[in-house]
Amino acid sequence: MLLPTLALRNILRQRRRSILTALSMGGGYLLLSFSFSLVYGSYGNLIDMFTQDHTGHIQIHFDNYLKKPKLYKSIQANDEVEAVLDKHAEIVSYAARIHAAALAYGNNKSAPVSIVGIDVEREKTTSMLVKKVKQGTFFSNVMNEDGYYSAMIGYGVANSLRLKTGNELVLISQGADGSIANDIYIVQGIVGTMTSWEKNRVFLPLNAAQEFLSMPGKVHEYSILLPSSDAAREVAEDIQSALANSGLKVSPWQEIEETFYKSMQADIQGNYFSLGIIVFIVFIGVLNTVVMSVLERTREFGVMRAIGTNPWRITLLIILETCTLALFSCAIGFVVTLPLIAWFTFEGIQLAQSLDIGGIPYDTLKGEFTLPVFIIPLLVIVASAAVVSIPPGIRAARITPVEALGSH
Amino acid sequence: MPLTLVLAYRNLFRNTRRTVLTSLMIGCCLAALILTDGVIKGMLDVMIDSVTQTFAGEGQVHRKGFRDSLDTDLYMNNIDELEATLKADKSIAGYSVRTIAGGMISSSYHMTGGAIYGVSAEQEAGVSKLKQAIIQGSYLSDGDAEILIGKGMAELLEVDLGDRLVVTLAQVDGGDLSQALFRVSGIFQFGMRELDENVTFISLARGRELLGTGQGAHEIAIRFVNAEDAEDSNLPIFKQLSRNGNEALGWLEINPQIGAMIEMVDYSTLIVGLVLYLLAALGIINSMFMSIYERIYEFGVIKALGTRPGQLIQLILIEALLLGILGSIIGLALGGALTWYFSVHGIPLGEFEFEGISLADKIRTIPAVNQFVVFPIWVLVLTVVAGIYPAIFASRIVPSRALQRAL
Amino acid sequence: MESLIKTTQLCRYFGTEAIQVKALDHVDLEISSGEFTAIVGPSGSGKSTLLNLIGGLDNPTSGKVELGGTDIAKMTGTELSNFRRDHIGFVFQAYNLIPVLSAAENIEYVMLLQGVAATERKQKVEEILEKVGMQGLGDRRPAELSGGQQQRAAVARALVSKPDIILADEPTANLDSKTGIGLLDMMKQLNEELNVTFVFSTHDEKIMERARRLIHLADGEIEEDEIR
Repeated sequence: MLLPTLALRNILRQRRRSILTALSMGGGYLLLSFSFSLVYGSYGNLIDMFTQDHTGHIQIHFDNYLKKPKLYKSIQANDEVEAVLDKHAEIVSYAARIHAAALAYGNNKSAPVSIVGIDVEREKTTSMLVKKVKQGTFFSNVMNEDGYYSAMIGYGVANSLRLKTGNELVLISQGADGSIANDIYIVQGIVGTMTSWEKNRVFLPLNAAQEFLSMPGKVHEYSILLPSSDAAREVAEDIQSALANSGLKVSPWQEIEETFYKSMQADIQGNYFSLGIIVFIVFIGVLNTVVMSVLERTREFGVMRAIGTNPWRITLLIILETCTLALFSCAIGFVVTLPLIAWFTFEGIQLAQSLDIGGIPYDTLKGEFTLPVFIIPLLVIVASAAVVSIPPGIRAARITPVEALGSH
Repeated sequence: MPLTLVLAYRNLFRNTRRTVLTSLMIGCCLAALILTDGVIKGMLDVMIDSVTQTFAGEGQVHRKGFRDSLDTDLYMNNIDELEATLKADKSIAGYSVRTIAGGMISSSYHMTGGAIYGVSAEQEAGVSKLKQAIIQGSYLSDGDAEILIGKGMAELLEVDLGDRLVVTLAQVDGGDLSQALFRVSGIFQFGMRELDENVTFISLARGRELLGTGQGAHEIAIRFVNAEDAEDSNLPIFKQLSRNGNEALGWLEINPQIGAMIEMVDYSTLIVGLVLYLLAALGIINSMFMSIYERIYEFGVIKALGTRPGQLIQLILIEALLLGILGSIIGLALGGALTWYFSVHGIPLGEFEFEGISLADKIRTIPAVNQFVVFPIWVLVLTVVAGIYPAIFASRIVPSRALQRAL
Repeated sequence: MESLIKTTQLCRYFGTEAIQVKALDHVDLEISSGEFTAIVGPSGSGKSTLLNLIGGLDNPTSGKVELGGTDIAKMTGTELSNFRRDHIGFVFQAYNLIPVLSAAENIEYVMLLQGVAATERKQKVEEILEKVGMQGLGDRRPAELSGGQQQRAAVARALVSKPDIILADEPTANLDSKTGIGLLDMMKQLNEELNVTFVFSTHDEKIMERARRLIHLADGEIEEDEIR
């Protein structure tokens, strides 16, 4: 076709101007693509971290336990829920948990802790807990010969109560029936670090926790692991409809960590806004170039019109020129961005200080190496180029041969 | 006016459309930078304010080791001495002696773990915003049965004003449990999750009694007359207070993550600035070249008439500078208007929680002198620097070729 | 001979009522198919205005232009574009080839607008380049051609769409007299061989000598219509 040839040659005609304009559009592409990669990579990494680490992708609770956790809002552990979960093909694993607050007491010191009663076997495949035992071993759900259950404690609890494996730990709390709960456990493992989620938690075997809290056969939560975080919403809806009328609420991670999710969205929106401004500035420059180019070629367009070129063809030519240049710019931008994104995806940067976003520690800058990260900025740049070139394009089409030929 | 200036000015307005678009681009860059800086300053201000003004104070004194372990046994015994030192120092606006212990807080049906602070009503009001944060009931009056709890905790425990709460904690030096009955006398809301869900306040005397610290306490929070004083870790008062196994620190040292954030934020302003300047520079160079190309015949003529290359360079650079001035005026007006608007109405950020501090609708841009003086100066420097390449190009135009080319 | 162009009481005024310039004032003119006509007159006599109006590049203040019986005032913008494309060829004083296209491509461009098939286009370009004496120069860009060569290419571009009429506004004004005469002889030859109607304007005595009909314009009116 002659029109693309014409467009290409017009770009090459003003080489310096084209290069300068391409540099700014290429820079815009680079910024967009790099920011997308970093934002989605880092947040994706973060989401994988906490979902796989402890929350799971979906949780089931009774009623509004998630927002207002109360001891009595419990689920009767029964085959119905588990049958639904067992049937669902996308579920990798699930585990039941029970939660309560308590005062822990050991070596003449006390500290407020959170008790988590866990299904000893299932927890191993649902969260990372088993990999985080730093001292001692992962516990079992049977009493020792002296009639004590074992417990695993977070690093923070161990630190403030000066506890080591094998030590006795006293837990004091309130049972579901209002009675005082009070029992002794043997520390079998110390889990996590000073900054991890487990810091102030005490893990008990599910049956021991149920006994302690006078809640036989009851749990507060099912944590469900999926292959990835993407499908959490749909699967949660599936399960919810299977469990209709049970009074149970199925929540995907977006609801489990709602504050984080909303903060993340606010952050992403703010990011879009900044990028929008930068793209806007880039395209003021592009508009300037296109307008100048049209003004310079007034005569040429006049001749083209005189020899019978349709006005829309001239508009099309201008748009085509700008878009072609935009495509080149993106190609340049792509060449520069590719290694940058690759490095951030496969290496990443560990921040010296982790930042807390909506209750989740943000500590790694990571890239995402996916098609949309490269394609969406391309579409944005080329589409903006097209939009920006429409007004000068229309202006060029309106040039009348007489006035154009009169302008020497 | 010197002739070169007149010439530069008229040249610029030969093509008003291009000059307007280019200066609009420069102006947008400047405005974006001013706004970015204003937002970042606003955000930092909220963060630092939340950290220092809300509760923690600008400086704190503890027994060494207490901050890491929160071990209640690590309390300070020489409170009287410390108070005397603080009272004598003119740079101190106020201080608050606190006992701190983790414990169990139970209502009739629920219980939760939390931190129990024993504070003196008057001292605390001079350091933290606790008094202003009360949303229901009343502030402390050093009464024995008074307890203030956060809104989050009140919901968790399902209690209201006047309801009974039992606090259980372990005494110092031995660990015997003590329990005491309180009635909810006030509910506060700081807007910081950690505080609203996990912290309660009782009178200092009651705190000491329950813990058995005698006249000792765990923390003294300090407010300075000049908040900046606290950022200096070599402050004499800190040295004076850091005796007998105690340590006095400013908030920057207590919250290194804020320090790290300030650094990171400076860094990101720099990056944003660089990107914007680069874009503006490309726009300026492009625009200057277009203008030079249009006038290539003219340059040929004036060179043929004997204008020296240096004079041509000067002309182009002055044109660039004028373009920069025009852009700066637009940028200052636009940036000023935006910063002013957002400083009054706040930035609609959505629900954003950072470092446990809810920033929703709280961030207001903060105008600063450097935004309106230093940034525009940089813009002017930049436009002149960006003008160098086109200027040198123009100065090298060969008259005979230029005259030919224009035909 | 049938009438190809007919203008009736054609007027074109510029400026406001107070300061009105009558570039053309009540011109009645008929041009038949196959003519080789020159519009002559001093600068400002209305030559360009008349050609622009005939070519549909400009709109008359009053009066009518009919081309092959069609009133061009009644056409829309696109219709007029298509009309120009199919029925009128233009040659300009400043050649006005599209600078980024080679001579051959400039000629091809018009056929492209008409939707002529690619193979036919190539073949026709070769033919027409030969006719205007530009064999072997088709690949050159306008900047690599002399003024006379550029104008020959412009004539070829006007010719290739097989228009009813070619309008040339001062085609030789930018050329030296020898090249100008050469160009005009070529145009005349094309007129005789292919029976293409040419209407051109000039103020050059040597050029107007070669026309078969001379229309003298002065102050926007026809002073003399001379057939030789």
